[in-house]
Amino acid sequence: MITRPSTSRVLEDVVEELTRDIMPSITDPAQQIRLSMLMIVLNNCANASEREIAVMREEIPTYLAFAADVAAATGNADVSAAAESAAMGDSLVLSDVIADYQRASRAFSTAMDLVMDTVNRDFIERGEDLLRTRMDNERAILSGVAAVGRSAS
Amino acid sequence: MDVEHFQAFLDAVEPDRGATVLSASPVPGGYSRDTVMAEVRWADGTAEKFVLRGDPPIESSVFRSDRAAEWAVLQAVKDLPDFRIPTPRYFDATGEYMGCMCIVSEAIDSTSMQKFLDTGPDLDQAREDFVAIMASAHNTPLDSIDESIPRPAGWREHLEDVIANYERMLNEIGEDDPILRYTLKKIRMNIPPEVPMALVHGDLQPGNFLLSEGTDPYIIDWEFARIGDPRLDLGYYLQIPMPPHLYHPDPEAFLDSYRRLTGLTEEQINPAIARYFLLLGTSHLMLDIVRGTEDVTNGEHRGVMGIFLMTAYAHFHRLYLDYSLDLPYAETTPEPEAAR
Repeated sequence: MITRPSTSRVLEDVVEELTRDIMPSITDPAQQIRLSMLMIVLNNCANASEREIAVMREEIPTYLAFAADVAAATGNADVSAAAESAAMGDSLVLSDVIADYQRASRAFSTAMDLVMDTVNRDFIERGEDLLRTRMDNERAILSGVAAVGRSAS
Repeated sequence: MDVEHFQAFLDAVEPDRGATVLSASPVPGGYSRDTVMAEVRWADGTAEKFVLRGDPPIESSVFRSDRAAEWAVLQAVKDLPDFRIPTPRYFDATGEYMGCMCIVSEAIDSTSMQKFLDTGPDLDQAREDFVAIMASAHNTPLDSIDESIPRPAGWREHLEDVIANYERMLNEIGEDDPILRYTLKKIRMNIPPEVPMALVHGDLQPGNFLLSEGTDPYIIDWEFARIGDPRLDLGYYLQIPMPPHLYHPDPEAFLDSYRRLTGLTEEQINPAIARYFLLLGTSHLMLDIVRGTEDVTNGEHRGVMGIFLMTAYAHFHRLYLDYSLDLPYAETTPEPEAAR
């Protein structure tokens, strides 16, 4: 498989082509705006293609551990069931990773709901840190600006 | 919404006036509706400019609002003494002539307050003007608004309906967004004090105020208007990104003016409650964004906005987390029976 240039680099180059040659030839302001929006989307895609699988696989174990710890500490059946139904598989196929991420997120949220309802400060603090990390990762990918975290390829 | 369609429409609704549509040019930049500026000459030699506001095709749109409901709101508020709107003139209620449901209003020779702010005016005075316009809408006596505009049964039921936007978002995406679930729980833990219901604009920002020489300001874009909690408009404005912002530099001064003009108390509206209402005042937009991204996920095309609004999704996610992290923990307030 061809790895040079990477998908993110290809997308970045598409944006450059659009910026250099296509955008200046467009005179309709509405179409200029649409093209600018699409270039932002392409930059986001470049960011995502570089990192999204790694980001999700970094977050999944933290959600599973949180849900398991809340289940163990509280004995809550719903949290236990949600934690047991989630796992991180070996597949690195994007759709499989997304499915794992969604199940882990659901287990985390089920546990977070419980600790918020019971105002369990220790678990709340830990859960809020996980939310902040999730948000930081999301922003890094969907910031709408030029690609970040790029390899040299 | 082009020259030919508008010509056919005017021939139908004004058959005796001999309209000639001279031009119809799209106005770029709107996220929601398609807007066209048109110029018409009548048989008596007079000329008029109109703003045509119609629904984009479903396959190239994300935000959903009801043109018939907007027309009803315009009819209900057009003659109120408290503020002005561009006179709504015609409505193609079926799209038979214009190709889509379309509202035709008079065009105002004006500049938006947002553009005025870009010229570097006295921002303290601009803040006072902005608050006064906002308060003029919120102070509108509800009994002066036509009864065709729906009234919620009560404040708490109304608030629950707004909060339910988060449940609708979560239903769309399968309950697995921890940020939205966290935000919803914090919202329920911090139900604010009740205030009197008011006319809520739903997109109240300087870009929707038109300033015209010699007249009071006009308020435009009523597509999300409803009767509800006026603090929704305050919270909505907090997230408007265009500088210069008229709230954030001095929230206390902004809210002090607002309280003085509306009679609300400090317990009812203060900086913390304004931040709380950002979570609710933007929820109708976030719901449409979530639905748009789900449509794209499911293989449907929603135009450039469907994918571009992923950045808005992330932006609101960030705001929701930041603002809800600040809210204190409390026992969840039970939902009233009637709202379930």
